Amino acid sequence: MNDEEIFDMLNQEAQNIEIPESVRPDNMMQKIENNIQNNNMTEQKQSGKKNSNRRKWIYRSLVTGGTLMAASLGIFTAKIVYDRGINKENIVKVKRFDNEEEKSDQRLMMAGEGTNNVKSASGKEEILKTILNSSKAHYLGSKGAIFDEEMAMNTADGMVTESDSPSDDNRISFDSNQKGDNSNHLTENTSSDDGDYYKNNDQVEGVKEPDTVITDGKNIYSVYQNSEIKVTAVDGENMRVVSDINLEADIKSYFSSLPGHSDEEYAVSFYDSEVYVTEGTLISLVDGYVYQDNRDKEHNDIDYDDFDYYDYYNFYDRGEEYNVILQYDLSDLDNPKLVDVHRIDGFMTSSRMSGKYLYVVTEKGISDIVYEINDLEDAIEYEEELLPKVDGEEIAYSDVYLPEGDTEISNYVIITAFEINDDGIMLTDNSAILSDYSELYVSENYIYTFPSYGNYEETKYVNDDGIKMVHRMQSTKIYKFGYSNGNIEPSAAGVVKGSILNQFSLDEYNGYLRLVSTVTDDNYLDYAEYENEFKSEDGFDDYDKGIWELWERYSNIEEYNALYILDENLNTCGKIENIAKNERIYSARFSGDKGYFVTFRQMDPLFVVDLSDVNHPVITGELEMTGYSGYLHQWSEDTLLGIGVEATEQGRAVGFKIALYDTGEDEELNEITKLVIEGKNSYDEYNYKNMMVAPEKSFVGVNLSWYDVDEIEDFYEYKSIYSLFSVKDGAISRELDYNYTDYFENSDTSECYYDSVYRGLYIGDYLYIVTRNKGISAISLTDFVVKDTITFE
Amino acid sequence: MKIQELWVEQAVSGDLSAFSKIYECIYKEMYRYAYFMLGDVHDAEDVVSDAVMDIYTGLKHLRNAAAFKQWSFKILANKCRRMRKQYIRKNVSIDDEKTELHLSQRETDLEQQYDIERALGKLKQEEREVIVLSVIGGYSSDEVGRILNMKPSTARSKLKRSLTKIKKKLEIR
Repeated sequence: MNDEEIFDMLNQEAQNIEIPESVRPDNMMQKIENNIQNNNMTEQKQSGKKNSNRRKWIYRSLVTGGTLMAASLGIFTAKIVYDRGINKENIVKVKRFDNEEEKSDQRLMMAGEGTNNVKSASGKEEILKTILNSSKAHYLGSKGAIFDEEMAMNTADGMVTESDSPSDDNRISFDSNQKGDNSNHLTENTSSDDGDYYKNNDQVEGVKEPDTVITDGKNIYSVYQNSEIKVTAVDGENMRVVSDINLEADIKSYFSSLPGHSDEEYAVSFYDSEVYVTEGTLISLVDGYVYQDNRDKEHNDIDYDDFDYYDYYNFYDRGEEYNVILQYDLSDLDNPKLVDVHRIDGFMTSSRMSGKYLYVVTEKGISDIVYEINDLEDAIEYEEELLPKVDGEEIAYSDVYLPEGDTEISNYVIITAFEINDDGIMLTDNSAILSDYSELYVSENYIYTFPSYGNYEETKYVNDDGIKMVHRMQSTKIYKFGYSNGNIEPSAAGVVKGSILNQFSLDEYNGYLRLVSTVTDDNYLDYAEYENEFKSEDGFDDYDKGIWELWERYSNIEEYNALYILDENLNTCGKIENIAKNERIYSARFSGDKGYFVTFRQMDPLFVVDLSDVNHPVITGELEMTGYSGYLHQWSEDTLLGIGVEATEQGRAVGFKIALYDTGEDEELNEITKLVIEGKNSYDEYNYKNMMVAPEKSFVGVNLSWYDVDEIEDFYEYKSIYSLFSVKDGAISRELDYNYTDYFENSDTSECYYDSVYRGLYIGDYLYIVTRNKGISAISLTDFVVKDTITFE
Repeated sequence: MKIQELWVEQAVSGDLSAFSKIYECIYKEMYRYAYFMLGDVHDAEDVVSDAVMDIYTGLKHLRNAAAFKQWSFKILANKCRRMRKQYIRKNVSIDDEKTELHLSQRETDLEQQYDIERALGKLKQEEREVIVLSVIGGYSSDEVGRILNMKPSTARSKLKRSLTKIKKKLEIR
């Protein structure tokens, strides 16, 4: 049998298929007509809703006027009840499914101690109803302006200020404990890639994170002006740009090729571009704004600086934000070929790549629509915008997870999985969860999402003096999804007190999730209850009547920190609470059975925790010192590297600090050595990818910046350099300061108003410093001399 | 029957009878496609119904009348994919006993029908889509590529591979 014969056979079979009645044209048209009629009827009902919309607008504007009236209306119900002054466990009961049917219809994520019940939606109405409930809760939220100021004064962030003394480097080093070879590799090394080049310091080995500069040991792939990717072949000091991937052109033609769009010219702007490079394939994730360029030829000579905002929108068609994944075949490096383009919905949070599977997490905010809806009918009218989608299609309801109870949530976190094959990108799975803007921590097997700022709960109570108070407490809901081979499976949901700083505050080990959080325990006067008492006759706040005294006397905010160990169902099985009162966490790192974290207000304790007993974690060391570390790295088995800020004992910033700590078993926790550079800052602690942390080579590279004062000319010039440090044998030395203005013509420092201008990486015995949008310098790691520089065109 | 671009334009502006004419040209193909992809009469009906609703309400987004057929098949293909995913969740095997419906009421070679359906059932989703679009929809590899978001050469190679697989399955007996 040949292909043709099979084809014919299939065709024959197809012809034999009987077409059911319901699908025939007359019946189908009838269905459509019925549908149209139904829609008309609901429209009539809508017009009766106009008045209530107006009432709602007034309501909303009162709230934004800064009062707490929403709180006094008692719309919300608190899930967590506290006895003031005493810490309490969450006491909400677990929802148990009593019958099998219910259980199988709705997939329940395992709830951690009954405090975070999440289940998949049974249908679209359920999703809309949940959003509707959240819209009511949405009017709560920030307290009056008073409190915000107080908050600003009390947080440690306000304490660390810029130092403007341009003095020379001030090296402080303690007597180093000669501990032998401190440049050991990390003990766990599961990577099979033994190439002698920088592998971009991903948090978890084997779970790749996207980046703007990547090397495969032979080439450097760098994002250029967000709209291109330069491929530079390197060999020692020899560098050559071999190709240029034009993302802009490819994105434009993608939009032009969409059905119904073939003739339009598109203009594209870029927010961010990131890449993955893996075995001959380059994946680029780009987001930005796309619009049709309808420039009328007569208006070509318009001075765009004169345009105001309104004119701009009239002139161009309003565009839309986009998020795309582009796949390129790198088998011929001189000519990378575009293989596929795939558009994704929502704003990019982050992504990870494991093997040939790409997992993308995006956010879809619906808060502006949430404000418009009063009831279910409104919600249905807006359902297009309210239901989460992937690829323009609604996500299957069983893949949408809704938290139980009242929420303030008006945002979806959408996880989408793709399989990257030689012939293109295929969407394999997706899930959405109604959750606040979230961050990610991804382990080898699980994706954890958690809202960056935590979730607030407010409870009203009356204190011992009979004063009406509000207790506000943060907690963070954590959602756990299993991922493998392009599949996403919901696994568990849990909740912890406080808010979590960033991905390094969590770590999964042997199935347990360890994390640290900072808890803000806030008690304040229930202002709304007293509002009328303290108003003057003309209805304004009368400050003389003593409400501020009352406020100050009773309002109190406390911070403390906590460490939690959660089991695989995200139930808390071990914890330490009330750590370092009134300080907050600045950095954390976990490594096997040990955890390290730094809290800071004026002084910085570095804590070491023994996590070997998951039910009883124990703080085994506490080292108090000046300044803080914003990033921690297990440098060797017994040493920990900290990168951050040096400060005085009162908490005033002095400059940049890099330090090495001894965390060995038999030694007491102590600082082996540190290096401080006064007057200079590094913002890399907020974006750790910008640093080069390479214990295998004993090098650390960071971006440093400061304002240079020219006293004669009387101006401040913003400067930025890349500094390379060697960390070896218990000593830290500054080996190199690189300033791109020395190597690229026609460049001035006004261009470096980025947090990070430089990315450094090593290949063999060379360091390559990529200056954003400029080019690359090759530097020998033996004599630290710049050997050559190429400029990107 | 070829879809006239005029009909599409009229349908975009709400002319239901124009839409009806268009639908007449494609409904059989749509149903057959859905049936081959899902193997279940009722699901295929549902999916076609859903797709047609979406197509009708979404017409205003279609600016290139010539692309109508591809565009609607893309909608249908995605609906089928969603349905198939739900099968996987319910642990329904696509070549389950109960999905072996008679392809036709006629007294033709039932054994062959059975074989073909089983053979199709063994194909991966994309391979099946490619084959069904090519055979039933009569689409060229270019057109298949546009519907399924792949290069035409990919569509061709998948088609070739699927035909080979089916051949193997049928020859084994």
